[in-house]
Amino acid sequence: MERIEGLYETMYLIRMTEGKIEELFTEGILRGTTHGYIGEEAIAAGVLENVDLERDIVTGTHRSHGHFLALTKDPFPLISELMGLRTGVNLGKGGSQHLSYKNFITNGITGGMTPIAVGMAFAEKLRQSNAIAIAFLGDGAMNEGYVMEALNLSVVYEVPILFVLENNGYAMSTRADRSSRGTFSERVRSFGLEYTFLDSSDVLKIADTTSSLVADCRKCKANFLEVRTHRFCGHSKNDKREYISTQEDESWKQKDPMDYLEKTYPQYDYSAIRLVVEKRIENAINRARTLLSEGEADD
Amino acid sequence: MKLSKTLNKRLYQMLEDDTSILLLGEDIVEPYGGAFKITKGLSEKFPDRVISTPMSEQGFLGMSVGMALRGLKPIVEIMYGDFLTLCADQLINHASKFVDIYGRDVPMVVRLPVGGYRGYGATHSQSIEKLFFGIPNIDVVALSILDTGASSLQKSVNKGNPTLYIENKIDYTRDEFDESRWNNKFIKQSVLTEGEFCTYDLSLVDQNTDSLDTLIVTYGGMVSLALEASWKVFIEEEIAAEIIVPELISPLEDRFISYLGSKLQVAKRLVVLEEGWGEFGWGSGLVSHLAESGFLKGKIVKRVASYCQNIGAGLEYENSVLPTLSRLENAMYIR
Repeated sequence: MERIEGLYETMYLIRMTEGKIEELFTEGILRGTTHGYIGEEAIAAGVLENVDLERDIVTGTHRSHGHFLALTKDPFPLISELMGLRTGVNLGKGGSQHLSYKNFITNGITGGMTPIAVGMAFAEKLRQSNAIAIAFLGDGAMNEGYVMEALNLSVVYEVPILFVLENNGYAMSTRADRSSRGTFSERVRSFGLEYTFLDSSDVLKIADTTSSLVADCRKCKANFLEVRTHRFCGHSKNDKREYISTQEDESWKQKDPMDYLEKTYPQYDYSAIRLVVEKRIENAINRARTLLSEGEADD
Repeated sequence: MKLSKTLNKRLYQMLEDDTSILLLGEDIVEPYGGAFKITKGLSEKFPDRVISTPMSEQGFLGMSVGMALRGLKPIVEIMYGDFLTLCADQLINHASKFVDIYGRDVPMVVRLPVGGYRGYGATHSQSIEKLFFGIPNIDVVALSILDTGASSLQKSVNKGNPTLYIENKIDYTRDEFDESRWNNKFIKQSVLTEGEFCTYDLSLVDQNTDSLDTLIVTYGGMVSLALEASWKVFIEEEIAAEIIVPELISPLEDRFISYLGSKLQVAKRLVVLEEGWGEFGWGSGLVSHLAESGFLKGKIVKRVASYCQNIGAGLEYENSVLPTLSRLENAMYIR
């Protein structure tokens, strides 16, 4: 499979899995809550193309299904985790927001993983492993005190870390420009951090930019990438998105990263990729459903 | 040897023995060597592993969680234990969760100079550990003058859990327990030694084994007060007390509760002494455990702790809130 097909596959896997998860909630099979990643897929796919999880470290957020899928390409451990099954990636203890797999670790507290990621990167620097940490965070986290502390600490200790800000414009329902003054770029640069800005329309650009930032991080330097994006699903499962205008949705639909690949690189058979992905998700869900009903029968 | 020096020597030895140990904290490097000089000289010998931090408590405590996840063994100094409230999220919502939700090792120790009697005022005198009792996967361990060579610090690192390590500031200026100071009338024994942490038992030399007036249970900096009061009531009232001091103060282990149960078979009275606020305090949990286990039938139970007020700076204010000798004495023999 060529690179572009691979990136398309990852994005489609994330979008369809998230869609199916929403359906499973509606059906009443899943408990708790979920935070979907529909619309933001190009960030996980592009950024994480550059990561070797055996060596490098990735920290996520409460909205990390996409990161997990981009790293594993396997929807089954995620879906069964959401069902609370022992076959889940964290034995069903974690649920949607608490995922841990090899060197990937998330948590449910906004921004809380960023100082931890700095410490992990510090450890790798100390043992001269040449590994780096990638720390995802959202625009809401940019107003958390310890995120600001983490940015400062990453520069003070010159650790190999790339912060990736997934700015979808809203902290839950509160628009970023209503909760912040100044700009994120000014804020980040004031710590002496290198700052790069992209939007989520072009997955190749995200992947290539990340590749050069990661190379720079390996020289024990902190970097910051902001990707402006748009969430086409609710913040969480019960969110009807009343605060997002249809015009806003329409303008972001023009920037859909999968449409962009299909238009720009028409030589690939995208429908074949979609079929394979849909089958994989269906199989994963059926397998998990069976386990779930067997478990219920045992009770 | 003063406890400040004991701790300094222990940290030196640990850094020398284990290259995965590193120290983090505010002003801990030379020439300052820490607000209480506990890390004096260490950064000169181990410059890469004694790390001065900005005043970003939740940031560098979070960093230490990350370091521990990557196999290092960070020991963090929070300059005054009171500042631990700033770090609560990283401890409770992160370090604690990673242990049993993810099954990860988080071998980190947070050193906390705590306690009053020094006139530092309301935000620099608290026994803040009180807020962190009974949190899953967070061990709370207290240093006392009974611990020779601050061995409990080494044990905390060995156990490998996220650990809050309580150092009473006033103990820094005290010597380790010496029997001769008490006319060799108290015998110190280590009991429950089969686990990582032990418990200390201080009894009077001629103690009759089938009767005891008072069993005092306490930890940390209160040991000196317990000794003083026990000596005084023994001389003046001929009341015999035995003092029990666990190293691990939270969680309360079943074997510790059972040990107290065995002592309460002969003791007439139980006094639980702690410096922190008594309301919903350490003693509340301990007494409820003992009661549920049926160990308190027919016993007089007293608690001596801080009253639920903030600790004013002046001596009179401190004495009106913190445990005093006279309050402890009264608890030992007044009904």
